Amino acid sequence: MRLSRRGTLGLLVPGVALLVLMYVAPELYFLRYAAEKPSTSSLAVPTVTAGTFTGFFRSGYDVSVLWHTVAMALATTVVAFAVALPVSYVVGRTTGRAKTWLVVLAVLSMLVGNVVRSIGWSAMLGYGGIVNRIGTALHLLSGPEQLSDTYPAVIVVLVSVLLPVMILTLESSFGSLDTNLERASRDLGAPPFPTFWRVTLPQVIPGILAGTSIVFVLSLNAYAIPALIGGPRVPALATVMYDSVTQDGNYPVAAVIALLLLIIGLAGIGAYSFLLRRQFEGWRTR
Amino acid sequence: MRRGPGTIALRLVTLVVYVFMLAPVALVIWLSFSKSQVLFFPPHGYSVQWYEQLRYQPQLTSGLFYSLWLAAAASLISVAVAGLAAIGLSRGVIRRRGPLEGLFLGPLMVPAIVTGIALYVYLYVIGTGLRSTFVPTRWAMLLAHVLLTLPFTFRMAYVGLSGIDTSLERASLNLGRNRLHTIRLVTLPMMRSALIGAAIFGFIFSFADLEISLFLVGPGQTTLPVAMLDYASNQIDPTIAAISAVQIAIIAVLLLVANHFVDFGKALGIGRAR
Repeated sequence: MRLSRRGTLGLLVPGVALLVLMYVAPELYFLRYAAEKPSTSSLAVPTVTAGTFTGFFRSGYDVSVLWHTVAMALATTVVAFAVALPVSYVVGRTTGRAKTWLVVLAVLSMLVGNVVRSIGWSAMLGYGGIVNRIGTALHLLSGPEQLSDTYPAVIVVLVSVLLPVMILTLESSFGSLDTNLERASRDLGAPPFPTFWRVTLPQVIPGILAGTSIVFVLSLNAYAIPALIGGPRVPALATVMYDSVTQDGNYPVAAVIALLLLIIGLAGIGAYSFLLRRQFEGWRTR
Repeated sequence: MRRGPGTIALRLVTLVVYVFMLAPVALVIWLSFSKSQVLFFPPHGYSVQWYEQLRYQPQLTSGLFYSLWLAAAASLISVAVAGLAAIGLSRGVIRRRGPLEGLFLGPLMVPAIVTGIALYVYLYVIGTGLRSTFVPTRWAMLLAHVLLTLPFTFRMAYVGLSGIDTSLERASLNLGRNRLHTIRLVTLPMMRSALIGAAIFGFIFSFADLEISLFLVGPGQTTLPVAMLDYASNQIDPTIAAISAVQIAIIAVLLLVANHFVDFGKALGIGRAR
């Protein structure tokens, strides 16, 4: 069925108008503050200056938060990928009811909310929590310790929270693979691991690209977990942005941070998917 | 998959990882039935008193009702807008679909916390210009949650439409129905399960989201996740575990319902390179 020009317009207008007026326009309006100066009487001083931007990079604290956030996002992505790879292989190859349950449980833990999962992890890492209890029982810890408030703790929780996204993304790639190629490789005498590495893995590159980029961006932008698990001792870009607005009323700095989050997210994904794709194109044709 | 020691090891890893993923969810539910005020694992005794005590936590209960209203309203509006746009985009006369698809999936690109603050600033400035207050109001919050859910509802409606056999639509047109009737009597009924799925997922995304609401909450208008974060920054106790368990239960039930209507993999657009 082909709709008329007027019909098409009528169906699209509500959505397009909503998005242009209430999504695109606000984002641009806000990001413009990155080129303005902080003000005490209004949201920002309307000028055009690079001062706020360069000021961010001259502040040792801000730059260290930037590096820590990027490092945290990279570490989370690498660990989550390494952990998710075998799991998604298993889930992708499972069939029937078991498969349904594995997917439903992963979707549940993905959608149940970052706040709920952060609260669960806070309870687990607290003094009477399961981690301290087991650690003490196994003599790994000499006594109950404060386990949150550190970068490693935040990374562990980020991995736990973002794993379902990674597993579900990779799982559907593994699930839709043609297993005949693997069987051919095995029948021709290749051991299991080289078969996986040289035959299976190159075929799931799109899934790997999607999974790792989504997890990288989500951990870069994470707010609830650094705020609740890390607290003030583990600042991340998102929490610093929140504080700069709610505590200092500094909208220009918040806009600079927002811009950085966008740029790092997009540039990171772009550069990395280019490299990974080129690498594996070479493998496939070899 | 071949059976052998490798398979068993892989299954064991899968089990451990699922426990790691689901442990916080399971433990929150367990600890909400703890008897003592101080969290201790395993609890020394069990009771349901913390669920009864929720009555005395107005910020959490009003947050729950506010979030339920918000999620219901946002997902209905979002599904209506997304459903129309999906029909327009897949059946209309459009030279280039890419930019429009990009626009509808756009809110995924920007961190939700940035979208929230941008909307706050924008509506604040417009409100000041018009000498009225747009933020914080429940309508600004509703708008934000419609934007939040739109990429998901749009994608589900769009994917749902692509699976529909267009020959039925053509049959309807050939038999003399006009396009409007055809959409109403043929296309929409066939989109039914995709739209129901989209509404349920939209509800869940809105209900559980924290970031977009952070700057838009106001006195008496705090969403449940924001109220929970406020509470949890001071203390983690069985009360916060109880309200978390309520949220988990609501989302779990909705997911089981959604499982009947849509294929999760397709619905969430998982596995396609974006």
